[in-house]
Amino acid sequence: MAGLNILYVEDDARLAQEIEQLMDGHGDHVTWTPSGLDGLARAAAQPFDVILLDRMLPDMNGLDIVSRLRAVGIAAPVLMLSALGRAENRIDGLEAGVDDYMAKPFEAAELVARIRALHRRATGQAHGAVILFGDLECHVKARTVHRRGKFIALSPKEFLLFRYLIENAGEVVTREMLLRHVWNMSFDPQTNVIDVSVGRLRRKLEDGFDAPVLETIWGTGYRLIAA
Amino acid sequence: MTLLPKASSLFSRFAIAISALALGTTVLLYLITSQVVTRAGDAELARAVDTEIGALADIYVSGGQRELVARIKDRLEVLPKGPDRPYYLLTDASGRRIVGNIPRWPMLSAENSQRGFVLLEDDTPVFARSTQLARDLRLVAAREYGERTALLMRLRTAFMIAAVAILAAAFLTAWVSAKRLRVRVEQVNAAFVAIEEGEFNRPIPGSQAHDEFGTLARHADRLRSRLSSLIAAQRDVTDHVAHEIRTPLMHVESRLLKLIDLSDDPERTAMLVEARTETRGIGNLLNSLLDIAANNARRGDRTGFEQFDLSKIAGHVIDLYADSAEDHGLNLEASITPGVLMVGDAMQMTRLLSNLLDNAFKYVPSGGGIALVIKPGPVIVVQDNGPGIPEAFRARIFDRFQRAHDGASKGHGLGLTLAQAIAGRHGFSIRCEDAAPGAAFILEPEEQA
Repeated sequence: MAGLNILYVEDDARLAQEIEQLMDGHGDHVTWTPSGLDGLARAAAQPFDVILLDRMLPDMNGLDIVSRLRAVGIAAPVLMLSALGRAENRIDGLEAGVDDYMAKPFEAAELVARIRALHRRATGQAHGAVILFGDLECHVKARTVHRRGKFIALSPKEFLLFRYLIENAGEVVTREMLLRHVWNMSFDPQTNVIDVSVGRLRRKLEDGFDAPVLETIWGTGYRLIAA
Repeated sequence: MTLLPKASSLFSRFAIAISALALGTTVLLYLITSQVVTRAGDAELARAVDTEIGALADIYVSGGQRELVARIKDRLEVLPKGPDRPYYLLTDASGRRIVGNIPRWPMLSAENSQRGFVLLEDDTPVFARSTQLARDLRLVAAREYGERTALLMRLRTAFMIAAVAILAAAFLTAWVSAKRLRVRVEQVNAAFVAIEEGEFNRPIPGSQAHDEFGTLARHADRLRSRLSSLIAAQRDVTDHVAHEIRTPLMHVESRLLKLIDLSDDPERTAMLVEARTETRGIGNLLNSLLDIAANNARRGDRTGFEQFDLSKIAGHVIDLYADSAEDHGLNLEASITPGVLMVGDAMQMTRLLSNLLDNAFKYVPSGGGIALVIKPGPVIVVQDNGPGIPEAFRARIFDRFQRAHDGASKGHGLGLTLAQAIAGRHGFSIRCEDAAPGAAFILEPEEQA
């Protein structure tokens, strides 16, 4: 994927710097501004692939910025970053027209993954009927998985989990992303229910093979890697 | 708003009371008037009969019995038939009729010139007076109540028409004013309903009026505005607490992440990961505390509620916990009636279900069973056959930072507190019962006030 052009409106300079470095590392270009009004002006002057928006800015509320953007016809996907992570805050944001909402503190890897996912959704890139990655093969319609040509029997839920991982192969996916896309749920489980399910999938994918394909990113999530 | 108020409405009762009062007053007035008219009529009748008998006595004194008999005959022929018809009877001492149109002597004593109301043989009521003209001659003269009766009839008709008119006017006036009052009270009620739905910023209408309702509306509006600023302040404080704690947490986390990336010593990595898990725990603890506070503060406030399929959500939760149950050697059963709808916050209800299951998973040993039941109502039951909850502890189980068994050190002891707060905000009561063996958490809609 070519580097993305990202607008980042954030008053916390330290955090902004960290994220700029992070995205640079992934080959993206970040334009940063600490001011909501300036952010609006920039968004109007030049097209961006994705807009990252802090919710509580000194000069403007992030939600108002989104409303103004949408009102003048700027459709770039907006990911809102906010210290207000509770359910009701999230709902406010989604109602205001943001495309995704992340609570601080967030995982750097999750931010990257979500920016990629937003961009993919906005540009309508979709996967084909067969997804190949490393020695893995996923037939989306037939709902079958093969590794090195060997059929791997998965339960329907395990297949959904695997499909989401292979669609995002090479990228880190967080537990929250899995929960949302595989289980259709949006909340923060306090226990390791997701790890258990991922662990079972991992055993099916790796038992009898010498190379691992499903990597655990400590405290963050998982990544499908090419064996 | 219906056109006709319900009978239980204060204003309907007011309208009915006013109408009844008007009707009662009219009836009383009629009774007094008819009494006065009756008495006046009686006096008039008595005077007429006295005049008559006086005149006949004069005739007897001046003309004798023959003259008297002739005059009485004349009068009976000349004077009108009908309601004002006169009656006479002239008899001798034995009561034999000499002349007259009364067949028998009435119950009046001639010696005492007695007068009074008597009934004639054909039941005609008359006012009569008798007198002893001579030792062997008695006279009685009487008049019917004709004119008085007619007057009373006219009076009754007039009063009946008046009563209908007064009743209609009273009812109409009472109904119109009751309706006006009702509209104003309903405005205030509607404003309170709006507040329950979360519309805190709409002023309560009617506060500009200079009457009692204006005062009521002003009081209510002051209360609303205080409530509104309290809620705003609560949100403001929690938002700022969240912001001020999360931002530094975020910096700590990103540094820990960098260290994890740089570390090539597995032991050190493990410690750093543990440190990171702890910082996440602080974030989760903060979230839970704020969520508990927000849910408790917003009991009955239905802002942001939507209808959703509880059965479907419960199905997703069962789906999510299925693998964990298998790994723990637990039998996770679902008994979910399909299509149970409810109004609320789907995400919060998901948390509630998951918190109850987390709690059961924590205490039920391998080989045990956990059941999630969803029934119309909606009724939610999470039941297990684990060690159960000691009775002494059941009352405190929903308090913050309580754990039933010392062994269970996982989690911060807020799961059930949050479950209770979410249940409360959605109008559910939650209680813990002995499932013999095991524990059952039962959620049911609270009794509607």
